[in-house]
Amino acid sequence: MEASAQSRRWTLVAVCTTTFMLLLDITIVVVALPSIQRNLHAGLTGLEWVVDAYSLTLAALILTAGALADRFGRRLLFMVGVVLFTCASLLCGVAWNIAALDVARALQGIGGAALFATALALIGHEYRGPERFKAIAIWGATVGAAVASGPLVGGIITDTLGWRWVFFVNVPVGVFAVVVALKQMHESQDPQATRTDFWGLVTFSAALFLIVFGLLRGNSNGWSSALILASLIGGAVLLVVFVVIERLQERPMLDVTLFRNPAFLGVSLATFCIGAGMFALFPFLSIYLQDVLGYSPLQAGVRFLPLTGFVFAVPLVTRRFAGKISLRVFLAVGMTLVAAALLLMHGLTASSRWTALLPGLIVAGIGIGLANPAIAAAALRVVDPSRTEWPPGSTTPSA
Amino acid sequence: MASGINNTFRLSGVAVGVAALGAVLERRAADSLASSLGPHGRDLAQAVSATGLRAAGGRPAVAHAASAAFVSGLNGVLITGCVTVAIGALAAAVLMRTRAPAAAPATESSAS
Repeated sequence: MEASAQSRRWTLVAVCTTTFMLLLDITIVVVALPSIQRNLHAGLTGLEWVVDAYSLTLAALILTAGALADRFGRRLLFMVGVVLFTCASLLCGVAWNIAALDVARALQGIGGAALFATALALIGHEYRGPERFKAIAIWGATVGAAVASGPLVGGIITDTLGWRWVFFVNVPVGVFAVVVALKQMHESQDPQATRTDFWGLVTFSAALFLIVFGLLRGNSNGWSSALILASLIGGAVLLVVFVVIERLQERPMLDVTLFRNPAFLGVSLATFCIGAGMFALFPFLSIYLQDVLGYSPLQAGVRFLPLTGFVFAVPLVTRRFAGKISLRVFLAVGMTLVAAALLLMHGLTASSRWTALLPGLIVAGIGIGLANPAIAAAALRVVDPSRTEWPPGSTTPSA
Repeated sequence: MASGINNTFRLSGVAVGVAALGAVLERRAADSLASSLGPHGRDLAQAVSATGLRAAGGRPAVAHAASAAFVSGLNGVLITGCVTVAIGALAAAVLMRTRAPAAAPATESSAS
């Protein structure tokens, strides 16, 4: 009994620390981008790949990683993820040019997908009953703290130790997590798990890659060039092929019949749009604060706090109204606030100060704070309509 | 599964968004430089997007034009982001009107 309580606690600590590292890595890198650009003589496209190589592989693999974990064991996949993520972080830190960094970031995304997909399942396996809810709440708080503190931590590390340490700090965390997984975690599987949806994964990843590639290279190659047209059209066609494949599969990676439910379609579209319109903005804001306004990484990180602070704090308040106010209202109001915030930030001139951004950053933080938990709750409700509570860990992995 | 789909959409949004917003920024910045520095602006725009704002190389007038170009690009990014998020808000408001995912798909009568 004593031993199993101990192994439970270690599992929770390891899962929370790796989740913290994984999410921190998203925001931390945003603040380090201008330093990376100077140090590796990178262009804007190379920098965009630093963010995109990671989010693209993460997006492409997260569903498949979940399915693989169910089939071959969550502990196993967690360990594979940690090892891959840690080695990739080391590679990011020693990257000798921007292309090497971009490739290493893609590897990080692959490991990250395995970590991310197994986190909740591992906790759920170790804990039962009210204990489980408490454990998941702790994990949720970790997610929120990582998102809120990311820019600041990124700024401090980049300022004092340099951008390479943004990646090196992951190494001891990874070693620790592997040791805990080996010594304390129990293996678990889903007996009903079946074959992996290989063609779904291939078509979805390729579609996403082609679309991103086309957009990133459009300006330099020319939008009407054969290469760009081919990749954008090819990406769109592959996306259609993907949907067809998913409809034919017995056990698809993405159950497209869920989208017959208009509410689920609405949440998914909204989630995509807030990612594309809001979270994708951070790299550019970071470059603006540092390259145009001349702030240090730390000074830039501090200026993101009004936003991330509200993203963290608002769900703590609104949780009380979960189940009383409809998710549709939360989501629509939150996203309208975010859109308004972007409009508030617009109209910058070459002589603007950072305070011109401040009202927008605050309103955006409130909007994201309203929308995030609603997105997570709405997705859960499709699976289990009886659930009305705010799911923990509903803060974004991408802010 | 549902939270996995959630993350898939969010991260796909980020990946496509960074690429699309970056394209808007580069385009707007190049236009701004071309109008402030004439034909040389295009070359400088290339240099700026290839090596960052330090491409201006210490010449104050050029550096100012490069900053102004980036800011003009960022304004374009903000508007694009605003429209994108507003579309998402609209999608949520319209599509989620059917009582949030009902237990049985009884509310599926409306064609969309």
